[in-house]
Amino acid sequence: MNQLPVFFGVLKYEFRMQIRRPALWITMVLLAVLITGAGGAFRELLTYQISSISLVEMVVRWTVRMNFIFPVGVGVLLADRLPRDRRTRVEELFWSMPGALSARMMGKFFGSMLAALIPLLVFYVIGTGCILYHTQDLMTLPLALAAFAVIVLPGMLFISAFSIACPAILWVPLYQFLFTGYWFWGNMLGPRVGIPTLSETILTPAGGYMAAGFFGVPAFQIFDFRVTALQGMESLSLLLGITGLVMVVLWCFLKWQQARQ
Amino acid sequence: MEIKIYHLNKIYRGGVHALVDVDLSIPSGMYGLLGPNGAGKTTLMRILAGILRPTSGSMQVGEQDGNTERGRTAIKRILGYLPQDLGMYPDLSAREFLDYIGILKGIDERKIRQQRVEELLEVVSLTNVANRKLKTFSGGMKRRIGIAQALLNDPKLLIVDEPTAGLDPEERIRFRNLLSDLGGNRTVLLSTHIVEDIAQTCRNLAIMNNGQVIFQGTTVELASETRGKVWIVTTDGAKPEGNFTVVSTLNMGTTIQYRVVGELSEPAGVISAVPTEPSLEDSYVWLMREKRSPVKALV
Repeated sequence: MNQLPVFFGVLKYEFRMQIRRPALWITMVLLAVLITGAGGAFRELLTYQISSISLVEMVVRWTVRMNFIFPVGVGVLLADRLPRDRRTRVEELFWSMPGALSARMMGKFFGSMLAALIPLLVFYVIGTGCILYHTQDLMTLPLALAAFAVIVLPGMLFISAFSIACPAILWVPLYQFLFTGYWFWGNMLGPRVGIPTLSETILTPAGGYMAAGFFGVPAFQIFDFRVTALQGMESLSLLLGITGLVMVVLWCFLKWQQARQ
Repeated sequence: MEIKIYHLNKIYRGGVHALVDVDLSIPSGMYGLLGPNGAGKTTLMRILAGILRPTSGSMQVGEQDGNTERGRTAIKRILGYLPQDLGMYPDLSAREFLDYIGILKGIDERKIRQQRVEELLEVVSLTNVANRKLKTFSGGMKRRIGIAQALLNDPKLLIVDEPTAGLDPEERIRFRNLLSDLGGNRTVLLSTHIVEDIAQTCRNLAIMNNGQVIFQGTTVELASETRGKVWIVTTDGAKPEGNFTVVSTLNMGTTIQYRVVGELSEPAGVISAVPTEPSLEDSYVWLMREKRSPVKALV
């Protein structure tokens, strides 16, 4: 049996169920307001002076803002997707069907994540539109696309994988609490505050190495201008590799759990 | 399509022996699986549906060997399963949920799948509410969606576990009639603790208790074992005494009529005691009584 239609079908319906959640939109709008108000993001965009900083730096700065706090929302909103199948008791029904676990799992992962990214994308596009309006430079668009793809997406895939997988063994509220703590500890706080963290390593999903390595724009705790594109590539590859590994481990765990019932 | 089960055992973690050396041969058509709560019926259903693995034993579903991964996947392609605790995504509409299930069952072609969904919504009389979210559905409506999803892939094997539990009498009759219509060219395994559901729909049945099959055969065979053991006892009010189970009590005004299953001695106060033709329920009660006393095997 061809599992691709199963994958795309599950993706479609997981996307629909996630995008219809009022909690998704409320959470993301609140986070957008927080970014706008706290960081003065829109003020910065609206008063953009074309001579002050380069287009690349402006676009990347705007892109990096997406990774300040939106990932917390994404991670928290994805945490209940897998336990929900057990809670709604559809899990037993799905196990009796020929649709493979791998196809269902990947469909759930991508569908839920993509839906959670939609509000963020809307916010991002609005900001990008502001930059385009001020600069009248069409290069804004491919630059924004590239920056989003290499700075935001790898981190989102990384945290989404953990948010889908970890609640298979952790109580959802506990995971959400720990994840929120991890995000700030592992991405915002640096060793400079006296706490050992992962913040300056290539393991951080906030995208600092990609911003600095590919675009030369320091971000988060990556203030070192000597960060190379290769290091950016290493960080990106590591995040994607761990994402894949987490999903494989989840698949193995669910299979094992089913077999020992 | 015949199902053969050989020496099936299932021991859960904690040592609960849910199935004890179960041997069954299930022919085509409607087949009833009767037994009290905790008898092992649902465990057996789940093993047949590929949700659980047996601790030991084997099963053959048509040509497919249920002990291999390949065999189990092949069985799932021809299987329709309505579980006891039917789960749904509450925020999907009935139409969306059925479409989703159709995709998981391997109905890849969108047009074919949509056509099938519409046909089944019509069969279960839910076309008018197909776009409503499932969380707004009553218990009976959810059960009907349940049978619709089980039929999406036109299964050769249909397993329904306690399908009428919690339904009102009208819904129950509607469901039974629906199931009976389905039994023509497929194997329908109906598991329930409600004797009437089996009596109205099945010729062949098995009875389980404490993880074991204590009877398998036809309803006629079961009734013949119970002939001479069922009585209508009329008394002046006092409950008759003896080694039997009272199945029903009817107050006639000046007298009381008891339907009893068991051995009648000569109790006081009995106006009359007339033997009567056993129903399936009487036969079930008799069999359970026999199994609780020192073993007198019927199988």
